[in-house]
This record gives sequence, C-alpha cells and structure tokens, in this order.
Amino acid sequence: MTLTPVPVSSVVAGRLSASVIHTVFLLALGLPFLFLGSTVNGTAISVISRVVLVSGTSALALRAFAFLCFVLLEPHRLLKDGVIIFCGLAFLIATTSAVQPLSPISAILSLERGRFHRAGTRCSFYLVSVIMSVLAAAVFYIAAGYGSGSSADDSPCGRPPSPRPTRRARRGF
Amino acid sequence: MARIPLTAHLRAGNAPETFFAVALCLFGCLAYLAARFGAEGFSNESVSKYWIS
Repeated sequence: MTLTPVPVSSVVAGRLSASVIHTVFLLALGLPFLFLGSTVNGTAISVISRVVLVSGTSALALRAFAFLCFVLLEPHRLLKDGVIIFCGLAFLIATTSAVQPLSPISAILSLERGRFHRAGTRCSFYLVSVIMSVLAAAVFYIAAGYGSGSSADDSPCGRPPSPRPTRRARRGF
Repeated sequence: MARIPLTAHLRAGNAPETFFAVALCLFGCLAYLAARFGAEGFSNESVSKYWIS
C-alpha cells in the first residue's frame, strides 16, 4: 500500500525546513526580551547572538528528537509524550551536572561568566553545544527518515483516515 | 541594610543576572514549544488528498 506518493526524504526535508523557520520565528519573538534584559546589565551584542545561537540549535535538536519519537511511537501518544519529556529533562540534568560542555544551560551560563573558552583549550562551551546540537538534529532527522521508510504503516505522513461509514452501514444494512 | 529601589538598581546596572535569567527562561519556553510542535502530526487534509489505496 502506498500511503503517499511523496518520497520520505522530501517529507523529512520539508519538516526540517518548517522546523528551522518556526524556530527562527520563535527566537524573533523572544529577542525583544533579550534586548531588554541586556540593557539592564549592559550585555554585549556578541553575547546576545551566542545565546540566540545556543537556544535555537538546542531547540532544533529537541524538535528533531520529538519528530523521531513521533515517527516511532505514533500510535502510543501518552508514551510518546512521556518519552520526550523524560529524555529531554534527563539530558538537561545529566549534561548540566556531569558533561557540562554538552549542556545548553551550561553554555548560556558560561557566557555570563565570560568563559568563552574552556581552560587550557581553544574549545568554547557554546560552540561545542551548538555543534553537538546540529549533529544531534541531523542524526535524529536521518533516523526518522529511516524509521518511517522501513514500514509503510508507520509513515510520518500519518495514518490514512478511516473511511466514514455510510448511512446504510450505520443503520446496520 | 537599606533597601535600594528597583529603579535605582536598573539605572545603576546593578542587576547583572537579569539577562541570563531572561535567556534561561527563553530557552525553557523554546524547549517546551520545540518538544510540543516537533511531535505534532501532519494535517489530515493532506493525507486524505494524497492517500492511494
């Protein structure tokens, strides 16, 4: 059975571009608040742009993970939401406490303390966070493409609508 | 310790964590919305339009 004539790759690409555009829109909505906050303590524009970059790429990675969960766990809606919330919180808590360069929260806080670079290296917290988020988003989207292509019934295009019963069928004829 | 009014704090730039509190709140909102919209399905209209049985 063909669920849709559109290939899976174009569906995932469309989903990715829509995610990027929507994330940029949400960041633009939050930008005035960041500018207001920066006027209070005189934060530089370079820090604002880095914070926006870290937040945007992390949100994109989380969106990709949510899309992967949607593809794999689509029939189990409660399980899907639970997995997304649990894994997101567990990732933030674990990385903030144990692997700080991977954590977006640590990356934002490191910008506050002026630690653009880690001690003894040329590696910066925010840059590591941005690169890892982009890589994670790519891996999740590729996995979602493979996961949806492996079985036609679990296509990301959703399930086919159940045919509406006719009046005759509803009456029991 | 004498209380300093909020406007004095703001004028003197004595609230150094304001920006990063705002940034963390923005990140929290973004993360929630990303998880919410990322797991959203496709519209049924497009499925019914392209569905071939």
